[in-house]
Amino acid sequence: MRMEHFPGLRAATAAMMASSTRRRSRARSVSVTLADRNQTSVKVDDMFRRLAFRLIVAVGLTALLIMGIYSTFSTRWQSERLQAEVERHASQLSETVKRSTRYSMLLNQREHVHKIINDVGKDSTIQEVRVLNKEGTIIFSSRSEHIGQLVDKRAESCFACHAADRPLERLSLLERTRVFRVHPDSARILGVIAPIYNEPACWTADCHAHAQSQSVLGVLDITTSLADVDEQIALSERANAVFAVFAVIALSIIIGYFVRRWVGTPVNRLIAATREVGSGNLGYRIPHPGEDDFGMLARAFNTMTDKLSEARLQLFQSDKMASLGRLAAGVAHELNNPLTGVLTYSSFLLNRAKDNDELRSDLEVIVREATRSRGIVKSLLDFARQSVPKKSTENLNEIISRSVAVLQKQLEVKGVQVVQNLDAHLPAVRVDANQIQQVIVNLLVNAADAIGDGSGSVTLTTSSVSLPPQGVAHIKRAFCPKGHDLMDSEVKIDGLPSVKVGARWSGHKEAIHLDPVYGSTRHQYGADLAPGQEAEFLCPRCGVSLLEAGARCPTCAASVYVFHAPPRGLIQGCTRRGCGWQYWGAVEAEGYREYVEMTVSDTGSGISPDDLNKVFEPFYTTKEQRGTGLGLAVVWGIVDNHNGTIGIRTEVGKGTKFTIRLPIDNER
Amino acid sequence: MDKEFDVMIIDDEQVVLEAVTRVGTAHAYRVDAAGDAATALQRLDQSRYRLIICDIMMPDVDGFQILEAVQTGHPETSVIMTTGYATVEHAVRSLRGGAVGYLAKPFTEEELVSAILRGLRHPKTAGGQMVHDAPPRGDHVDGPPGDPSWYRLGWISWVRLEERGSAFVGVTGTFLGTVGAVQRIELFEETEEIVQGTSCARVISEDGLSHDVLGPISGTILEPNKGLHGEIARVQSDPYLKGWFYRVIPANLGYELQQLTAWSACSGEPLHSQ
Repeated sequence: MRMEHFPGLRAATAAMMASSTRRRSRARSVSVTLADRNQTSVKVDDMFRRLAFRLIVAVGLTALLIMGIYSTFSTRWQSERLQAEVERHASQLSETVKRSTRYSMLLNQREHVHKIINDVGKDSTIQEVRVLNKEGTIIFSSRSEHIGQLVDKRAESCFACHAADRPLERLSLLERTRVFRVHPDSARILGVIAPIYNEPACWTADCHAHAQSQSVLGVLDITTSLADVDEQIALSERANAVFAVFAVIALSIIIGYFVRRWVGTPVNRLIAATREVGSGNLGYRIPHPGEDDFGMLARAFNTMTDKLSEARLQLFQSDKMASLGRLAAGVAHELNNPLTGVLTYSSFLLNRAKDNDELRSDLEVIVREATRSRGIVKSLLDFARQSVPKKSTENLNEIISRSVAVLQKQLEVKGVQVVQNLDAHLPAVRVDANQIQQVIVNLLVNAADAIGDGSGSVTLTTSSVSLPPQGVAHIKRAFCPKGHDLMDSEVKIDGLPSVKVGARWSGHKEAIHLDPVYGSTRHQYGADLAPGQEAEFLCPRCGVSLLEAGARCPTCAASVYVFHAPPRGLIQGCTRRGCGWQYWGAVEAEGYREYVEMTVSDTGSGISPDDLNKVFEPFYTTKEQRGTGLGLAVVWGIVDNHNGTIGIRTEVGKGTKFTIRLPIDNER
Repeated sequence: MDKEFDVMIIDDEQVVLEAVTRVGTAHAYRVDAAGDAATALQRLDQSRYRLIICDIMMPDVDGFQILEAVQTGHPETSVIMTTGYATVEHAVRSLRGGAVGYLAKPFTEEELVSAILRGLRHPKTAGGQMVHDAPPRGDHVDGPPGDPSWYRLGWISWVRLEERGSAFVGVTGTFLGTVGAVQRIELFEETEEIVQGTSCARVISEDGLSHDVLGPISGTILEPNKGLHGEIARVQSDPYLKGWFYRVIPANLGYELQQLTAWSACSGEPLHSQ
């Protein structure tokens, strides 16, 4: 608008460049600390392997312990069962021997007794069958060489009864049983002692061998080998051990498999993601997070990196703006003081050099240039302040009426008729009325200029609209995962800076300019990429791939590109030329938004397609000497500061229509 | 109170102190200079000063604090605020805080001298109290019925809101009084914009000095008062009704009115008291 803005803009550009240099050096120092983090993630990897190993060892040991206890008890129980069976069998046998020899004993037919005992003793499992008298002398034995030997009562076969050197009479089967080994290497032997009690038949018998006073006449001792039992137990123990080893191995393999699948893979993915993020790729996302706990963790991680990258970019942005503001204030303050000296003294001298023409003209140059410097500094300050609209609740219709009133006479003189179709129920919006008026005045002046000398009309309309984000939301900022700006103001689509990406496919390479209106498909392709063909999208500056790993376009299954659009998350889209699929989660989540819409349409000369891409550029003008070329750039800046959108529809020779939409809930 | 000065300049920049001292002395003013706030406040107790020109952004004490201290401790001394970081906010805050003038750095000799002159001429009672005029009471206003809303920017300019949405802008009798005899008035053209706190018109006095009038609000000029060109006396005799400068369409009224002082018709003294 005003000419003073020129130096202001130039100075601002210099300030931004200075700030971006500083940012670059900061980014370098950041990457140094990130390298350390890379090493940390290697340690994390080792740690995980140790964790999986420990888990397997712990589970294996637990299984081993449980199986050990189980098989110990099981073996013992089994051996007890087997032994009891042997005992019962031996005890039964001794009863049988006692009964079958009773009659022969009563008759004192010793040969008979020998015979029976020898026959019984022939059984392979029976070690020895013997009968001992009260004094401990073996009187019968299946092993004839033992007959006549005296057994020490303190020996184990007698000890149960003769523990205290006095005979006991009644003993349970358990007490009468003993297990022993002849030598340490031999098989175990089980002995059962059956006492032979005195009975009337004994002392009334013909032989009168025993006195009535005796209660126990002797003992029948049968010893059987436990070799079979022991062998079975050993077999069972071996089987148990083999089973336990196999079970533990199988368990470890199964556990290992599931740990790898449920823990290892997700953790490795997280580690890979941490590494990516650590190396500065804040756009990295963990693909396909599942529904389990790790999936939730991965989602949380993705959200975190999203927020992180947004925060980083916002920081850069606000840093840039803040440093511009600080710079402006600093420059103004520091420069204005010396300028005060120059201007005051030079004007002072000028007023005192009225008689000296030569000195006077020199001093006039100093005063003029110092005054010009004052203007430059002032416009720098104005520019720094311009970015913050002073908003209050306003009725757009009133602002329009005021703006039209401002230009009424000028327009009448030119023969331009103004038609206002304003919505009487238009909701109020929070705007900087001054700036919006500037927008309307600029558009009206443009319309009048487009109409030219012939008569025509300008129509202003207002309405409230509710719009989905598709085709409305404007991609104002786009960054590659490494933070490079993708916005390209060299190539504009419908007057707005486009999103520039590189495309690579089978050896070819070209640049693609994406439409900056979300969901809109007026992309500009290079010469080579044929419609329907897919390409890998890259950052044109650093070459990092913009492809989202594993993601597929839901409409045509082509690969999907993704970039950052701070402060509102990620934008995904299809890489196949001709497929218009795009997804911007953050704005989709906001759903339909309420806008007040204002259109300014004229019946003027229209804008040629070549010019259309440049109309919002500063210093671009078709009016030659009449305009400054800042009008529409200012319009764009103001609408942008109000989070609004601006669109142009134009036809050469018929006219132009500007559509401006301002969000009603405009608090951001 | 052994000494009396016309002007004290308070600034942390040596070149500004020297320049103001040089210009002031050349115009036969007694000028004192203080390089920091502490020195300035100390000197205020030792000597008498008619006018203080005070920098806003200084390393130790904010210029507004000095303004406040002078307002309460030395009401007989007028204050003009100056700053190298010349923003609308600084201008408006200075004038609302009681400063009689606001001078953006860098300034020319002429701007400085006219500011000093106006500051020294600011009307006061014998006891040092500032004297101000006020707009006429509601029943004198030849406009739509009802009391119009008057607001002022310091003692420099005023705005009167009209019911139809536009507003009249003019200069106060106090300001005109400090300017002295008016030779001519330079106004902006129709459709040009004025901005709150920045120069919206220039009053040229008979002595050849030009005096910038800081606009009370921002807006687009609907019509300048063309009658003023022929009849300068109209401004001085009736600065509030016939002597208005512009009729404007306010640009950001809601925000800007908060920066102004509401001015009821009965506050202050009538114009002819000086």
